[in-house]
Amino acid sequence: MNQYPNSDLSFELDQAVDAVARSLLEQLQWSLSNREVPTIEGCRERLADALRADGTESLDMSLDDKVDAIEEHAADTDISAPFEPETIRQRIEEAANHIVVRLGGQRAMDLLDELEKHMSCHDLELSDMVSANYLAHLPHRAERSEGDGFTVYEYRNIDGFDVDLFEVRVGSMAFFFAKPQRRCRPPSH
Amino acid sequence: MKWSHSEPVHSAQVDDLVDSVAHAILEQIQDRVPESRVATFDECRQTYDPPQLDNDDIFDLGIADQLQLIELHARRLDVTIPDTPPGTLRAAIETAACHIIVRLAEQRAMNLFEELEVFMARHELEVLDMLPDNPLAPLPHQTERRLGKHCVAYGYRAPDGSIAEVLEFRLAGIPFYFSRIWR
Repeated sequence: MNQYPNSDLSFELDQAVDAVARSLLEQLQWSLSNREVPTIEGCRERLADALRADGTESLDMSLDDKVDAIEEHAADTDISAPFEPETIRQRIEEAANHIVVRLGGQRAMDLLDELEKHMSCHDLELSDMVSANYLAHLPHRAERSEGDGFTVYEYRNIDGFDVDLFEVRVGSMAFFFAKPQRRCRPPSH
Repeated sequence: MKWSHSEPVHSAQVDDLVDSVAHAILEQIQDRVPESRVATFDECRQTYDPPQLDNDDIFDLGIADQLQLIELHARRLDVTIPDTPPGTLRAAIETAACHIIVRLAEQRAMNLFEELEVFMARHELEVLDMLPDNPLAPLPHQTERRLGKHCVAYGYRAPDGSIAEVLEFRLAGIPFYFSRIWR
């Protein structure tokens, strides 16, 4: 099954594209959780910059899958005849790489859009983002799934604070948000 | 049966395909030379039509084998990759690989044919002595001599006392027949 539900790519290409999207989003997640990027628009610029850097990926795809990818996405490549016998393999590698990176970047952008929708629906801010569920080792009081990859974990009385931790799954990535912490109600006497 | 090769080593599948095409070439030569009455080895080499492979014939090879063929042989054999749009890249690779397979098979067949030339020179046989088959095979033979690893000579005595000998030389399993008459 493809990583991305709406994907019409072959399984192998989808896996490679997902790996690129994931890598891009992981870098972004790190930047966000370190408060390096304050806005979603800034995130989009970061992704665009990363794609413009024309990075190459070590693709976990067979030669067959790479040729399939080129044939299916021929219009998006700069690979064209004539092919020299000595360099045809290299050109296939480069063209497949170009396709995967471009599709991976597009998917990362799409997933960022999904994340933005989730944040908007649930009133989350980028400043709430944390790199992981840092409370995962503690028992939570309640857990509720709000569908579409959105789960809320309620942690109560953690060192005197109540924390709602939101897990947002987009594609194969999970983003975590910790709502501004509230001090627990003091015990009633 | 595996033939001796001088080409770089390929996968077993490539090797088998080259063998089968070379076999088809030698069969044509064996079939056509006696009828065509050609007299020289060079003319023998012209008696076959290059086999036509299409992309289905090499479908099982896989793209890795096909690319390896192109990388190893295209330049040397003067095979080019057809100009096609990227949407038909696979077909272009397959077409070039087909041409290379045929060229390798031709080389392999001609290398084998040289063995026949050497044999014929050693036994003073002419191209015109070549027969389409052994016409005396229905008759019992009186003698049977092995001439080297690949040849058997069958002797038949005619009513006039002469001895007709039919030499069967097997080249990659394909029998080539020659007639020789001893008085």
